[in-house]
Amino acid sequence: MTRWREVATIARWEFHRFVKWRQQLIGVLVMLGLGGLFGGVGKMVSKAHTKPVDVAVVGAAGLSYPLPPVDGVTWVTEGLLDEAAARAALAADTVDGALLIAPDGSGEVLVKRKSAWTARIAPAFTKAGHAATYSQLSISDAQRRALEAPFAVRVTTLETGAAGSVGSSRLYANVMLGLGLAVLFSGFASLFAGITGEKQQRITEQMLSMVSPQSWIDGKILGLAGAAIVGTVFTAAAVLTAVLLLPPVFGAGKVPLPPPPTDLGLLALIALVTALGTAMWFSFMAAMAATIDDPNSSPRSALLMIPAIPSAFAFVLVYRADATVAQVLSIFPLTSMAVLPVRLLATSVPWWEPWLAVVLLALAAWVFRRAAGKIFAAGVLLHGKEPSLAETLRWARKA
Amino acid sequence: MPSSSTFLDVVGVHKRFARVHAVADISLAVAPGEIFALLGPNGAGKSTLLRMLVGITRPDEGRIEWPTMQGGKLLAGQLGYLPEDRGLYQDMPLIQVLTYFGSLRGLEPSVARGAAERWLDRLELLPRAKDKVGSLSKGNQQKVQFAAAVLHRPQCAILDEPFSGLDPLNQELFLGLVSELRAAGTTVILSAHQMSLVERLADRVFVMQHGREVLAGTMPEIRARWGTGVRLILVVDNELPGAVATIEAHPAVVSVTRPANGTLEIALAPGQHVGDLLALCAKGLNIVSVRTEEPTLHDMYIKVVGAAAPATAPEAA
Repeated sequence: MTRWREVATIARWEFHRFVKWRQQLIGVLVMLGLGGLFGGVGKMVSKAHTKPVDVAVVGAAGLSYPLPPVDGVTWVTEGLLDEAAARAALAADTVDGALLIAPDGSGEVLVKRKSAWTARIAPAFTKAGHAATYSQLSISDAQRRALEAPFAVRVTTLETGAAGSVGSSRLYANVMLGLGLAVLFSGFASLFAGITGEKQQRITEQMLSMVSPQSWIDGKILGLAGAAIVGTVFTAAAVLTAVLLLPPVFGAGKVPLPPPPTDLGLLALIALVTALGTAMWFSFMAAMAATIDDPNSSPRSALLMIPAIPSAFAFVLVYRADATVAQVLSIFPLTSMAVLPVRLLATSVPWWEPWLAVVLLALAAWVFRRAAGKIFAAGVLLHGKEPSLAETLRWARKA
Repeated sequence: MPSSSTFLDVVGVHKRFARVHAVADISLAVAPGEIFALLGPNGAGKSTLLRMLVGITRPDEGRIEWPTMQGGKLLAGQLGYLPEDRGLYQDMPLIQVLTYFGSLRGLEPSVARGAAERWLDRLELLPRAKDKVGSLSKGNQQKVQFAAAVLHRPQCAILDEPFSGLDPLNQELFLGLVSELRAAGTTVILSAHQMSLVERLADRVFVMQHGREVLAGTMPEIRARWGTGVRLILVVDNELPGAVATIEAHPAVVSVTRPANGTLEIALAPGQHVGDLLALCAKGLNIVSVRTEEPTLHDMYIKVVGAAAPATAPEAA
């Protein structure tokens, strides 16, 4: 039996162990059901009538504009001439609240207990105040729109000839990166279960009489990464289906899909980096899992969170993609999967940078994969005991 | 140099762990088609030696060769291994687990599935082929484990404690299965604690203690070297005063014990015959019945291993 056939056989087995099509389908149906439920509840909430309240207004004459309408609020302006009368009415529950307007135009709302309608007062009065000010300035509607419009800017990159933003390419690249991270984090759980579970069930010794430790770990990485990819794609497809199908059901408009990406080369590069990064992190996690005897009690289970660190860097560097530290992290293999796409989308990078990152990432994936095999081979018979960090590093150095 | 009839040749093998010399200078040869039993107390180094034979670990010194195999190595498809630490995928159906193991041993998936079905049928588990392994009793899981080790018809089966945890009926079943393997031409190397089963099954035994060889050979060879001679067991309903002392003084007698009321067990020295002694016994004892017993492997094991055991034995896998 060739090594590749061994790896393929193990990968196929692991894939089928962890991909349960029936459960996946049930999960999608549950997700659609919950989406429908939330959609229906959301629609009910949006149409819910606000409980009407009567609010006494004292000093309305001090406003330069009429009392604005506020959803659910009825202004009481007759008969309550001062603050004392308003407070008395509030105490007697004749009104639900009182709005005291000072001569300078500011206001104070009095209520007996916390009430949701108070949050709607300030926006309504601000809007009415702005409208009154604009009318006093005697400006046209066009001038008013110009005052309120944001600064319009269009970026044209002369070196590449590209005009405007990368638009849909940016969106699709972000989706790809997001899916890659989802594959990582969903896959780690099954990777840990697949490796430590097999050690706990005492299957490994029998397995190693049939295949080499490297074949075993390679098959695990391939099969479980495949299972994680399928699970993530399945979930993403379900979410997309829900987003496209459910809004029209509840009377909302269709969600527009972005146009196809224009920069396919960029997407291909990001897809390559994501794939290599996934392979590297799966290999890293496989090596970690190979040193763990019982994931329920091992402190090393916290290592699952290590791949989250590069993602955090990526978020921080989104608006500082030109910084030198961003360039270094986009090349460094442990962070390049998350940081390089950010730089590619946000700024111009020298041509060699992505390729150096790809080469280093591929090298790191290879080294971690070999280390996982060596660590597993050395630690497989250590039942009930985890190797020390020094032992683990010594085994890893053999890779 | 191994002879042409040597299937496995182990020469001067050592294996050390942190503070333990688990296997110390072991040399042995196994002939093709024989059942070779490794015996020894817990921690003697049997499982460590078997793991080296399987290739899971490597000797620190010495060599392990399979002279009749191409390149002197045993390939995965030529080997069947039942480890001491049993384990199967609890969440998967029996038929899938067996088919998977058969595939990893080099069988085409369809062939592996056919072999798996035949083994499940043989073990009366075919109706449960699609049940998950975890739903089986411990004994039935052990049967599946055995099938997983040998369904690809290996040239060599290495079985670490194949009888442990089995009830007497299943022990008999496994005894038959191992005999069938030998009949089919498979060389079997096993370790076990069940002396009576090993005595019935093994062509040769190899006893280890503290990682070293303490006894090896066929049963007749071992009896000749380490046996206590036959035992004469007499049931008597009356005896003259001083009769037992007279018997004990006979030069052929090693010891006289009373395992039960009215029963005398007389151990003879190796090579001694019962004729003269029986006449002496008849003079002082009113004998109701007489029988003789050969020394068992258990007796010899206790004698050899017990004599060599120190107060504390080092740990070995």
